[in-house]
Amino acid sequence: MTSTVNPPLVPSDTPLKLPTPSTSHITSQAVYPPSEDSYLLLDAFSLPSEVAFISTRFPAETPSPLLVEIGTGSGVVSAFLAAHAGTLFGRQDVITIGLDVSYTANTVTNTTISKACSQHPETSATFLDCVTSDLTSCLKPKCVDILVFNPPYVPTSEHPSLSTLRDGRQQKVIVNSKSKKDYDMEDYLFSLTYAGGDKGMETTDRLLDQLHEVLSDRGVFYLLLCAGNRPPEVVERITGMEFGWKMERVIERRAGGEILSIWRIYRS
Amino acid sequence: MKLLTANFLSCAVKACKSSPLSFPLHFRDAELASKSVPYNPLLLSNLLPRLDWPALVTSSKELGFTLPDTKPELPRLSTSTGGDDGDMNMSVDGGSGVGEEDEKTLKMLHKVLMETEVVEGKMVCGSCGFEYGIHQSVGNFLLPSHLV
Repeated sequence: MTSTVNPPLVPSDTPLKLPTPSTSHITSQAVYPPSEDSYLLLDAFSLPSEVAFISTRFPAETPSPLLVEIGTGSGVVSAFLAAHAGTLFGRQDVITIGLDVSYTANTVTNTTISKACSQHPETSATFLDCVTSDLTSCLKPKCVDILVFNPPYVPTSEHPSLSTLRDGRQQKVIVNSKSKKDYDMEDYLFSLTYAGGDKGMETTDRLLDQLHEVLSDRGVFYLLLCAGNRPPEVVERITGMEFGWKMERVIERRAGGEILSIWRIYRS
Repeated sequence: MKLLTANFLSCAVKACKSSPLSFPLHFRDAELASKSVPYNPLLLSNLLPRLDWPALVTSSKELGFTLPDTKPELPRLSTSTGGDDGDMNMSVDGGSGVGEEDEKTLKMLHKVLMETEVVEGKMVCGSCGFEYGIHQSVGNFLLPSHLV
């Protein structure tokens, strides 16, 4: 069991209560709506112990941290982190970038984050941009300080290929689908949000392989896993790499038929 | 896409990542817009140490802005938590206010880095020549399958 890897969670460590960003502007069926997994990420960052961890890792006198989320979907996680940066990270001079393979997701995320930040000017970070990208392939190496990923984690027999997006024309916003082509694109984009292939790890594994080229020396990676991803095996793999990674469980919750957990990976 | 964002992007082609020519990507056919962003001098002063200044000068020049050749020296700003209400107050270390010249530099950086948007255009890799499109301010860095 994972309890041998982690110190026991302190029961009094209950999440701060901060408002969840609105996503009522989203009408596209091609975008993953805020769900249990998204909310678990919000709770993980709202734990007083996590607030303390990040504030200690990124003290106010150090250069502004860059926060990047992979697979922003509705944008609810990035919007929450950006809007409440002053409270969650102990500093407002944080910049954020959102990445998603879906142009539709990037378009709605732009709105979700901008709206949430304008509602919390006293604590909000500065949101730079959403970029259409496979994982972090668009980024300059080793520049991410806080990386967040709620991956397509569901174990599936087939793993959808990105070639439809890669080799097609400039993506358009998929909303209010009327044609068969649009419905198919909607289904395809939605499958990309959850289908994780073998053990639900096919996409996550690709990121883990290059994590040392993505994170800055002070960088921390927050990853969501489900029980089907076999977290103890992931821990073994990460800590067995040559980069001196630590991997610790931040929070765990039963959600419907799933056991979801958030982990942080960093160099000590 | 904000001009500042270009300081964090490089060519998505794997073989280009190690080439100095893949950063910064070069703006081409850029249609610009000015987008109002809240002025945040603390962010600018804490961001400056981590920015690649020569790359920023290049990106700015491509979009029609002239930045000084060397990174400006700015006073280190810091926040102090004022009172019980937790308001963040801005102060300069040492207690003096931000000088007029520094204020001018900060405002200029804010306008160029934060408020300049590339709405439509391209970013081109100096190493492999691949062109990344920018459409409605969103850059498209998904490579065609044959380049992955």
